[in-house]
Amino acid sequence: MSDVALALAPVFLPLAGAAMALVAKTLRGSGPAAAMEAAGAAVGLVLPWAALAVLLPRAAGGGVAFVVSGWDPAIGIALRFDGLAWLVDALGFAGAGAAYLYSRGAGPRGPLFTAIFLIQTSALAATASTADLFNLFVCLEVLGLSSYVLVASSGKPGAFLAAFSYLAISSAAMVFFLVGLFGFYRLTGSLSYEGISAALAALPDGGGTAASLSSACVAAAVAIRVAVMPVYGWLPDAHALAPHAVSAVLSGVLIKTPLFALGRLLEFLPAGPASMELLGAAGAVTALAAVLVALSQKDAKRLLAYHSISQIGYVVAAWGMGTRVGLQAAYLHALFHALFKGLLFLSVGTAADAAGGRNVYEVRGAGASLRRAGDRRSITVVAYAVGALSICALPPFNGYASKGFVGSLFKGEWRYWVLFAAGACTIASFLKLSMIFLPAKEAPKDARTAEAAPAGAEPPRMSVTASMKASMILLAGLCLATAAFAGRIMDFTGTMLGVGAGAPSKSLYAAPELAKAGFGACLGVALFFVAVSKPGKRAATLVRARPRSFAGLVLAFAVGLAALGARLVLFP
Amino acid sequence: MIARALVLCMFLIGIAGLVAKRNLVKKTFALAIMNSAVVLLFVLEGSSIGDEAPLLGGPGASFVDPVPQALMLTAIVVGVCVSALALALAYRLYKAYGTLDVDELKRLSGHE
Amino acid sequence: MRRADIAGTLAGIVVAILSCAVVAPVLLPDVPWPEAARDLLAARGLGETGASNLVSAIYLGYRAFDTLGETIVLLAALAGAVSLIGAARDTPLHGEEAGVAADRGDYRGPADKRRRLHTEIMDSIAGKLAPIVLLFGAYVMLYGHSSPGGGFQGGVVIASGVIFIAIGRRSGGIGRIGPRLTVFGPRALSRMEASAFAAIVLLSFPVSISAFEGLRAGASAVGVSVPAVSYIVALNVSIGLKVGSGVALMCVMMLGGESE
Repeated sequence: MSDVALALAPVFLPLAGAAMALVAKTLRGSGPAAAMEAAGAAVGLVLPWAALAVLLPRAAGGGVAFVVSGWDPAIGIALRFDGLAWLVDALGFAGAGAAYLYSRGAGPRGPLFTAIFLIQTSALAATASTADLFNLFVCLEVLGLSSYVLVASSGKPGAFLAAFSYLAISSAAMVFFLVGLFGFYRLTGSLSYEGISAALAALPDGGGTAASLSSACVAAAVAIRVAVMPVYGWLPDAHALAPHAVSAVLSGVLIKTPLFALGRLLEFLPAGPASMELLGAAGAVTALAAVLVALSQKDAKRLLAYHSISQIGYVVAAWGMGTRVGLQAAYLHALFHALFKGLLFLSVGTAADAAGGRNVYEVRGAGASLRRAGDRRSITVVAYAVGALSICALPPFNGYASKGFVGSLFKGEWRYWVLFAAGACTIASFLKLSMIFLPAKEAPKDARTAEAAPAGAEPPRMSVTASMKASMILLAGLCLATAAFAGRIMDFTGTMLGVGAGAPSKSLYAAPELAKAGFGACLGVALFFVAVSKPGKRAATLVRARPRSFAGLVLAFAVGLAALGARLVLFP
Repeated sequence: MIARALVLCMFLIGIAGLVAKRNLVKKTFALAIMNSAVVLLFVLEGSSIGDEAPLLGGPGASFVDPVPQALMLTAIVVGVCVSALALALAYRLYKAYGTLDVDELKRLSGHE
Repeated sequence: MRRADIAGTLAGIVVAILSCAVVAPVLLPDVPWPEAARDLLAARGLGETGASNLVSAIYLGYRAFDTLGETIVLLAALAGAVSLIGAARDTPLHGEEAGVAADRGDYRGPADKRRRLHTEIMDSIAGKLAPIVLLFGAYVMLYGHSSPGGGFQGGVVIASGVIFIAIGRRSGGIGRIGPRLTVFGPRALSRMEASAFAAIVLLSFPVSISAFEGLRAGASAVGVSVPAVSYIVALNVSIGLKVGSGVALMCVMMLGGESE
């Protein structure tokens, strides 16, 4: 097979799988239909790994840049399958594969869900390798549309509203994207990144105000998908109310791919470095602000959703440096976050379903509920523990390596201390979340549930099936493996992104770093006790009660867009 | 210039409506208006360099630019898809809560 | 006016002003529109793709990869909308218990509404117009490479033909061949949609890696000439069938059509 065919395989294989799932939907007889659907899922989620494995040497050696169908680059669609695309694809297929496995047990099931899920995976791969502005628009729309449908697939009315808000804000943002595209096309007559960059360079003033503002429109529209502050408002509802498997993909994969795609574009634009710098600063602020909100949440999944925003803040902060090392750190944290946050969404979702509630102040004894639901070996609890220790960045878990790497880029800057504080708050809020696994407080309460259960009034709310366990074991194993081989993975991503050695894999375990981590952990524990104290709870109620409306979301977008535009025009 | 200014007005009406109107169906229409404004903009500007439809074999030789038309074909389809899905969601929300007012819905669905 | 309305209006104005500040400098200045792409297409479009309609040459030739994405967007949105609407039929309207509505006699769901809107004129005309509309749709779809039209446009016309059939079916129009056998029922439509989508994916992959050129070269080596335009026609037809069946399925569901 030619390199071009292989490079397109991660896009087309999931599509072929989606087509098979759709055909399965129309088959009569449940046996053939189920077989066809499973085959489609295998084609879409397993076969791409073979293509990625074959492509690895090419991707590491600079990649394949081509125009689809071999047309003239002036009019065709340019794609670029390089080391970054390979890495982002690997992240996407890992996250999507594990989440799909979980959905086979916990739902939503059915050929339609499989088809939409595979379409979303295909769009992830396409987004990772596109080098054409209009193709980026199409990829983002496919990603968007499929994720609105997946969020709504939980069937809860609240999820419909979350899907509607997500749809409305990101569609409005995509109209701004088109305005930016109009600006670029009118100035340059080109849609490929390289063509735009060459034509802008030939213009006397590099395109002037129009080019800067077009860049702002495009960057702000993509920033919505990444959910960096201030345009994060759609995420908590969408991620909290989606089915658990979908939450895992949305948080783990879907908010990162657009960021790396945007980075690929901004490399080519004169306004790129300044946009990245501003977004990166916003990312650092996001990391701290979102975790403070997370600390105040009482809904377990919403708490995790705010953590996604906070962790993406780390990624954006590193990405915003605009250097290859920054990109490497961003990718590394994105990858590790995809693994542990996927794991957390799945395990906390399972625990909440088993316990029949999601309020972290009320649910207790989730471990016992899980055992009643068929999880006799406490796989869910262990999986949660692995995920929580990873996100808390305690050595030697993988979060320690990636957060340490991100932090090491900002030594001596304000951002370093912002991220350090965010780390301490992360520990505090996961201590709070872990309270759902505490044994039930009062004995009488326990007795009541014990009485109720045999009476048949309350059969186990759900059962933890084999594929749910397999999915959690897979992700937990990947978390531990990436922790064990963090140094190797750093070197590997360095080669893929053309950085070379220089990642601080050894120095992370030097005594001062470990001491700092210990200090952060103590700070986190102290914060936890503040957060669960009376005044802490009152403050949390205030934070939760802050006004959040759809109008505010659009307003935040407009303000962010205007700020980015002003930054690019006034301080070029 | 005048035509572009009018398109800009249409775009701004769309985004203002998206914020100011609380009815989900009106919000969906506001999105469609924004989308149509951009479609108009592309087709209008693309036709400034010619006056024939981009079909080879016609009498004249000065076509309009076919690229924006092809791009807008995609944008129109995407816009229709967004509207269809948004209306389906609005329908389900109305069935569940008996209202289309976004603030009411927010209150009823118990979002914090 | 309520306070919330005033706040909303103010927010709308602020958003409009901020957007205007960013968008106006992109839109308003006079910049000559680039002509290079147009000239390139005028010179080479027909020869390279075989389509004399240059818009078709772009969206099914040079930028067919985008069109694949567009088809997928349509698929995802329609499938989502159909499943949302389909699932809603079982849920009662807000404030009504399931089953209560039927007893009250004022609202009996889509089926009841359909009977009330039912007139003989609508049924007999719709059923007889359907073949003509379908034929026109097929023309728009098949000749998209050389005249205004194409798969998306033709598909939507075909969908309206199918809707006419669905309306006409109620009074025993052409849609009903036997007591159980209907053409263009929801199951047939979704089967057609699935196979047309599979065809689009199968057609797009070889052409994306420019295997189609190789196929043509191979065919002409053994003395068979495959015109360049055949690919565009094939894609137009499969997109037309996909769009037609997908849109028709959604509309039939919205009409409250039978689910299987």
